Amino acid sequence: MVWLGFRNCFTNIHRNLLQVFQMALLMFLGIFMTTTFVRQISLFSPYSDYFDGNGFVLFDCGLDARNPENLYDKLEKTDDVNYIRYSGAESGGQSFIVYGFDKMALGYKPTLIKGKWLSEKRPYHSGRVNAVVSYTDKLDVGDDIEMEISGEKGGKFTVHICGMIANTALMLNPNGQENEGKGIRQYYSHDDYYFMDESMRTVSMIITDKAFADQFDGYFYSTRLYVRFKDDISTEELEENKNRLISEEYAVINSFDKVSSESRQYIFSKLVDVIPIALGSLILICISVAGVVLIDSKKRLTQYSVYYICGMKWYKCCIISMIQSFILAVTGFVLAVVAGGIMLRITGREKVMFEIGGSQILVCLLLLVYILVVSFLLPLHIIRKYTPVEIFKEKT
Amino acid sequence: MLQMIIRNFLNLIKRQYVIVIILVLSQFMAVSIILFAYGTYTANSVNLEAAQGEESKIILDFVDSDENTASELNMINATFASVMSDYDSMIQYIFPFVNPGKEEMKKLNEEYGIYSLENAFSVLGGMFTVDKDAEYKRKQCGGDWYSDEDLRKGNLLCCAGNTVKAEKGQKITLFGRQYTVVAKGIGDAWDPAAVNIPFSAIPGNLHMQAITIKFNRKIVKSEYDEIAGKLVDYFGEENVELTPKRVVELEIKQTFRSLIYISVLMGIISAFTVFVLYRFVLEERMHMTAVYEICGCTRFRAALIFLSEMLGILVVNTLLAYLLYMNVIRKKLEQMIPWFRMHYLEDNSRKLVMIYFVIIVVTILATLMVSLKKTPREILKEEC
Repeated sequence: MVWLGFRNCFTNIHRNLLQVFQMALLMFLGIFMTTTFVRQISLFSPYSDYFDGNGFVLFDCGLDARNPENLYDKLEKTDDVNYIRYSGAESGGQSFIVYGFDKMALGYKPTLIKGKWLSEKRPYHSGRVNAVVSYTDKLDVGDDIEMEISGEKGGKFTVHICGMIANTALMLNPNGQENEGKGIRQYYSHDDYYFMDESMRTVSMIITDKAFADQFDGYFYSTRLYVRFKDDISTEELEENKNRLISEEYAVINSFDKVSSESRQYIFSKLVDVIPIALGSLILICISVAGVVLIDSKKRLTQYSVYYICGMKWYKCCIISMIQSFILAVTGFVLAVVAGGIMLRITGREKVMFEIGGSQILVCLLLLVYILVVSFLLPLHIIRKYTPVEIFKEKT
Repeated sequence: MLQMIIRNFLNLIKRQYVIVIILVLSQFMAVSIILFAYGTYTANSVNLEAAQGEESKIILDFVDSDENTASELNMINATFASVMSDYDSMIQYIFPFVNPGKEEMKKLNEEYGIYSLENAFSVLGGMFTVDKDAEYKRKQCGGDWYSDEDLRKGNLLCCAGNTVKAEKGQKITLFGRQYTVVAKGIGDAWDPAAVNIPFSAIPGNLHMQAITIKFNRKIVKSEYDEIAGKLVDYFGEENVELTPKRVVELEIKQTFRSLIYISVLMGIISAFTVFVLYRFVLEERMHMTAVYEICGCTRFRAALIFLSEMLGILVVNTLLAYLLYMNVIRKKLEQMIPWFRMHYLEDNSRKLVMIYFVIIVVTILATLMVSLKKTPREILKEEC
């Protein structure tokens, strides 16, 4: 049966090529649409679980740099104190703000113009600190630069630039201003490199928190903090914690509840632009697949009748159709990925949203399942209406 | 020939109704998505925040220079009104922001409890009018507001917010002039600590900091550039600067660019589906075509019969999809989502649908060329 399915792909090659082309278009559309959809929720999805608990977003109003770990002792039922550490550094007259991103902060991958995003597991590259930098025309991916830590601490370390964030792309910013009502969006910022004055062009450099701890050794700032409490904390304890934080010169900017609900509203407002097109794409994909499979099945009715006369069951004929569709769909997927790669090469990564990740593969798998189901059920539905004699009679 | 077209068409519906349904649906989806993506894109092309419910506006800042102080306010005159009259249906209001200075403001605050000055106006047919919210404000203060005539003549009148320490009929001193209070806000009506004066009644020696032009709908990039260009020409390039355009995050640009690409892709898929389905229909009619040709019908005539039949379906379908989307679906979407006020340039929408339609026609022609290659002899030989 598998062999017959294979053979079907190579007989009537013109029709099958058209079908492969169509599958490639549909897979391409599926990947494209999913990427656009997923990018809308990617600002919040890595942090949605975190913000679903009880907690506060704080701003450190203290004049001196201090270690936020002390908050574990000062507050009741503290589950987690999260913050992004940062410090200043220089290299060849260029100022940098170096951020230490932990696993959670690395959850959002900004749009990179070149290279790849940091991995928590690979803080170093041949003894040099792996780093992703914000857009600048003075550095390039693959450069190794000698960094000098600013301020009293001093010291030097070498950085290997493994990725560069696209100009005006969103990135997590622990110093950014709060914008009421925008939920998680307020913790991201975007700058236009060419819009900034030459003197203001400070480059942001992101390294892993492990590399940050190794190089900066407790010499850091952390202006925005996220304190999460255990689930069994009472309202009174929360209120007490809030008062303690205020007395410790921390401004309680937001509660996790508020961030969570505002983020969902914000994400929904973004999705509304995409949902109708996503639904439209889905319907068009379904219609198009059904149309092509229907025609292919009608064309192969005589062939299936021959198989039937030779002793094959109808459902086995449908399995042959399924195998054929599977091969064509997989070929279409490969073509779609290649076409996507070519498109990204031509337009650049920052122009359009096209990625192959878990969600995209899942969508393609669902699409494949749909194609398989349709290519099994449609021929079965058509064949059942006729006997082989009727099919031959109609043919002649 | 017409009889043949009708007979073919009826046969198609009778025998291949599933294919006709798929054709119609795929075309409908493609037209809808192309229009939706276009609407989303244009609505967000200038003021990307507009999609979140904020209105579009242009802000023009005056360069802070001692030399041109006192000259800008006098430029808000009849010539300015005629320049802006081209856009009067779009303009919600024009707000010249006049700063009386810290001292004057402090005095107004202490004496009358005034914290801000309002002087918005609008333009209609080259004439100044009170801003379009005036009717609403009138109701909120019990019926009075200064008139268009007062605005044009620069009569010294004002409307005071609820907490302003001045009653209706009383005179208050602003910029060293006596203004009569003609209306008094009730409760939280408009800004309770503001005083609203006709802008023409503001002394011309005061420095104007900025002009905000608020539109009653989202404007597209071409409109933005046109209006901004006229404003800059009018006030002089050296005297004004447009508030730097917001640095739009890359992800938003990527999203809208992707949506446009997706809609194009859907158009291609739809055309491709038409190609595959119609090719099948023509293949099914091969025998009939061969018979036509044997009976003396030329191939061109046969192609014309099939083309007319298919065009009939596609023209009606595209037109219906366009009308249905623009008049029903779009309106429903606007009702369902309050901020969903897409701005469509009707001309461009039609052009897009026309482009899609031309692609479909080209596809059909290509299908005909591919399918009608064989001679009647070849067709009949194949069948045997």
